[in-house]
Amino acid sequence: MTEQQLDELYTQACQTMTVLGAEKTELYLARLSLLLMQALDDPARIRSAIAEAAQWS
Amino acid sequence: MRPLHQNFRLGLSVTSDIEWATYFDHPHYPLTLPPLHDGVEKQRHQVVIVGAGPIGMALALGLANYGVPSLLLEADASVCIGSRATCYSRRTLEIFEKIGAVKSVIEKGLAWTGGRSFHRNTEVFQLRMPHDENQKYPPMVNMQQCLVENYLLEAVQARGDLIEVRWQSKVTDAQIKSDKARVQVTTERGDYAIDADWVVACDGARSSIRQALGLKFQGTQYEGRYVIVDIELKSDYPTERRAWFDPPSNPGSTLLMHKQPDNIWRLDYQLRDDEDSDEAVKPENVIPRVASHLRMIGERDDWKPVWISMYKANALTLERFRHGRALFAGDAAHLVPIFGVRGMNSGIDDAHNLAWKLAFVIQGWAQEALLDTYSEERVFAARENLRHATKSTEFMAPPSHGFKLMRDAVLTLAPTHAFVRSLINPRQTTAIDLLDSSLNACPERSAEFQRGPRPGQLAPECALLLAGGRAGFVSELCGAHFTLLSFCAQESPPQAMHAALPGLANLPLQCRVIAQRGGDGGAAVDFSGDCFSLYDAQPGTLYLLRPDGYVAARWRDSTAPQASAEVVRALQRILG
Repeated sequence: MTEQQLDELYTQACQTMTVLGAEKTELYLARLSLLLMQALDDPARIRSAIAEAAQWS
Repeated sequence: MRPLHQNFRLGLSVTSDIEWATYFDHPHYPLTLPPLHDGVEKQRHQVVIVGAGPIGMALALGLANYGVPSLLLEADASVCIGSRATCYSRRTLEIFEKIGAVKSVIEKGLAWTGGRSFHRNTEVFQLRMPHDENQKYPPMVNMQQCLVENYLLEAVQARGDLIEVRWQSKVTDAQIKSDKARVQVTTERGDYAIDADWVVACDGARSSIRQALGLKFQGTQYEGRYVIVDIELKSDYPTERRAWFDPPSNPGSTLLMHKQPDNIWRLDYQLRDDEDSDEAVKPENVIPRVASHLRMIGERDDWKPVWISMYKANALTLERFRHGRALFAGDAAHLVPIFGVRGMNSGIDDAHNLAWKLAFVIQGWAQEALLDTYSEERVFAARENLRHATKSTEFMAPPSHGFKLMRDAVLTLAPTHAFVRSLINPRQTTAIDLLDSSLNACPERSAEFQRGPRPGQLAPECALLLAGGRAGFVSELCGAHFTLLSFCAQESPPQAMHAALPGLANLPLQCRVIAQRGGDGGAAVDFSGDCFSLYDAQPGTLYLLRPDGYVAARWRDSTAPQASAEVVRALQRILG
């Protein structure tokens, strides 16, 4: 994936959440996670992503 | 710089008495009135430029390069006060060179090539702007707008033979007819009208010409508001762009910091939605936030605020920049969010694009339709600038919960996950490619190249040895004319191409030779081989460059029998 493509996907996600509104965003992100798990189809990487996403300072 | 009344110790005294910084003796220029007949100036002008700001002055200087006179009308009595625009791009510096105003800017300005972004206390992104030994100018130079305006004014005054400036002359109305443009001028000593062949609105965001013609901006106005503060502070910290997201000094805010000459630092920070604009710009509300930030970054010296202003992000443009005999440039034509510094810089590019086209039409070298390509190209550029600046704004000042959430995700992932860091890039201004411009010619010839600048891209800069062995650059081969860049193996007699262009002998068109090896003089020599490589050139390659530095057409092998006829056709296509 190029930087340009990442940039476009990022903005598409932002805009989708903007349309949904803050109230529905949490459920949207959870649904997006499940769909990306299916697309990735790699339990080991999904497991480590689930853990990494929870770590920030 | 004049001494200031108040010195502010960090976090201490609070007062509303700020004396705005002045960086030079600000002369006030007198009002002058022309001879009138029935309330109309006797002399009809070829070009009236409304607004003697940086865009108007750049345009007047550009026109003067072609011997075209112009009249600048300015409502104020002097150049602007305060620093306003701060960052001048490489492209702007290259244009300043063409209009005789770059020397002072380079001498006084602070050059920089990169920067850092922080989330809270953690560095999350390093900005590096393109720079190498083939560039004549740095990617960016910082300085106060009033200083730049003063340097431009010095250049304007040096062209007093062609440029007249009328201060304290406010344009209040305009009528555009098929045979002339008329502007109404209001002064303290009475009102009058001026007739002109062309009127160019360079009168900023609240353009009186735009209002007189009933033209409306299209686009988005963002809710986010920023306070812009200049402070005087001695600091050895190098010149670079620093951005903080949610810094401990101002939790929840986004803050930008830039260095300017004369120990001046620019800080911008975003206001919360619940803050009142009038209150927010009061020194007693600005000083504690700046103090808190300076404390956080370890600046311990005395400092004082010298300029405070408020900014709201707009992403707006006119649909067309030409309306008959009226043309629009700079903020009068489009308003771009500040992030990425595309405001002043894109306006200077407008002026540079318009100057040669208007001059060519006035001198009878081109048909009037050439002016429509000014609108076509610069409206496209404005939309591109808006697209980039909007992306920048969405990251710097998220317009919704969704954008904020995603941005915070990027900022918290960035220290450990490099792949998201490109999203933090502030997308600093770059020259806009005009790949679909109607002025681009001979696409099938361009397709014969593997690399190099295509029609509608700027001719890249490259170091060369110029005639007499002087170190120089490609851009120095190109002046206020079309340029045929002819690449050859060894310096040879200048190509006979120019002479072979019947009917174009009187045009400002020059042939310049770039040779792989030196000879008897006259040609520029590509001592490093970089130029041939950058242009994907071989002996016999030809580039036709526009006066504004864009490639119009190119031929990999101009020895082909049809090449010179194609050069003529390319020029005829542009000139109409």
